[in-house]
Amino acid sequence: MEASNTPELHAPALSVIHLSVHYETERGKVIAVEDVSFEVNQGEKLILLGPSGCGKSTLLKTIAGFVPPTTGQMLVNGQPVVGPGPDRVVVFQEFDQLLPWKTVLGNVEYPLRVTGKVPKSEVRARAMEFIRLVRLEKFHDAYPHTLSGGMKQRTAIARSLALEPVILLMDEPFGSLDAQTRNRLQYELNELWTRTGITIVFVTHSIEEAVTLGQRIVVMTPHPGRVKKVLTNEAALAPELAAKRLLELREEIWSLLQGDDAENGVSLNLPPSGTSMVE
Amino acid sequence: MRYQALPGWLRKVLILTLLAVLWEVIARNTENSPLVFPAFSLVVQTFVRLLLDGTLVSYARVSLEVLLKGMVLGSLAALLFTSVAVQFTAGRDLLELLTSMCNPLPAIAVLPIALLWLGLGEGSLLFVLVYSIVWPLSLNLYAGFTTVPQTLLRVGQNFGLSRPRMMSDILIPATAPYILAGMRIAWAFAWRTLIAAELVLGVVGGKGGLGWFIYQQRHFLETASMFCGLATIVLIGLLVESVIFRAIEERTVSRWGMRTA
Ligand SMILES: Nc1ncnc2c1ncn2[C@@H]1O[C@H](COP(=O)(O)OP(=O)(O)OP(=O)(O)O)[C@@H](O)[C@H]1O
Ligand SMILES: [Mg+2]
Repeated sequence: MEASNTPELHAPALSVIHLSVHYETERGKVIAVEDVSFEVNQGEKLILLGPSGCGKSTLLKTIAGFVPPTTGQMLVNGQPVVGPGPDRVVVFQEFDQLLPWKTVLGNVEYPLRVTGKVPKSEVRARAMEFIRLVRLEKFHDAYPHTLSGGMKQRTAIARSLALEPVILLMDEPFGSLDAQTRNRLQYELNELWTRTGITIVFVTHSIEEAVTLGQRIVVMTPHPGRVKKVLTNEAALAPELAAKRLLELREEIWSLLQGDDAENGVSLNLPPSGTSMVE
Repeated sequence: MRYQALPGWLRKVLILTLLAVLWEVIARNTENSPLVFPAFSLVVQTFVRLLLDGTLVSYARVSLEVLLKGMVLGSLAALLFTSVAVQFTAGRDLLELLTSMCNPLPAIAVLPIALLWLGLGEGSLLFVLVYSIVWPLSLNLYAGFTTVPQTLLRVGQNFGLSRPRMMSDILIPATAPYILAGMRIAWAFAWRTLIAAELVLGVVGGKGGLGWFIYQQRHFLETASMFCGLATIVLIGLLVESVIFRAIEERTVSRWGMRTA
């Protein structure tokens, strides 16, 4: 499989520039994301990590174009983007993201057809190629309701990858899976990423997941949702560093977020951030 | 063999046979003339004759043709109405108000007004048919459209779907269980309403339906034929409900594992 992004493009795959997102609610204004800036390089796996309510999903939805930014802008391959589009495909946490009336094959084919991404005659072959990539070829004619949660998420991943987006956006895609399946899919995602070179922005509230998957980890803190620090996970590139570095990273993230919780004790405008970190 | 141990369909066949025998025995042992209470065997005989000479088929066809037109018109009206109701608050209020106001009013009650406005023709029949199904169907469609999972809408947006495609490829299939449930109710309402309207209205443009057939047979004192007309109405009703709708259901929502509304 060829790499989906073109290395000769020197612009970052995604630039988020001074992005703020406010929600107007009956209880007043909620500052979900406040002045967030970062870049995602071509072929990079970037993690957005933070406790519940820190605006990770909001940020991802804004990048996807579902939620308009209050201020700031986004560039994809250096070009400003507004609104949703198949250059930024989202894999959701919810299992109901598959079209129940289409089989696995139908689900992967459908966006290829409607976006005109590939000529009609190649749609089938390409869909099958990506279904094989997530090892679901035996289930290509199964309807989603007959699949396990893990298989549904794999189908959604195949469907997104087949579109060869500039960026794959994932919002806790393994959040509803049992621990074993989650570990397995994390491992598979790393493999897929190695094989396709796709650029990924991955949202999670699990430190474990962040250090397993991320090359860089954007640590966010809530009320308002800001970037606390951007960490580089050298372990992701050099396996011999892995054990030691992962331990350090875990501890650093813990202390970053601990400090934050203390600050948040006095914030009044929002409900408490409840369970901060799982794992 | 114990009765409970028999399969469901066999139990029902047994009961039906028992009822038929009872009917036959009563009819033969009373003083009634067949003009008032024909025996079951006579009704069956007449039914076979009317079926073979095409009488029942041609009357049923007239009814079904009008019904089909009414269903198509009514569904389009409901779809249009619901699309407006989904997008505008005033449309939703209108839908809620009109359905709750029109619900207690049997469709056949508006026939005289339809006759006044549209005259003694098919137009009036269609009017009552559309009236009978547009409310229940709109309510179901509305419930369906408003409960489409947000994730699916987002997925559609993500693929950059146009509005018409969003409607035809996402919203309508995602609403399938509600559409099917709505169509079932619409069919049941429309079929009853049509027969009633035909009884009142009689011949339309030289053609009469099953309702008219029954009414006509009363004048000829063909009581057995009246029973045959009733039986045809029941049979068509059952056929559509348990064969056609069930087949559609099995091929769609059941197969897709969608929760039936
Ligand atoms: N549609 C909305 N309307 C109003 N406020 C919202 C909306 N969506 C999110 N918020 C608020 O914005 C803040 C950030 O929410 P968001 O869902 O982005 O958090 P998150 O980091 O994804 O949390 P989690 O880990 O629980 O998914 C929260 O305070 C939330 O209450
Ligand atoms: Mg979230």
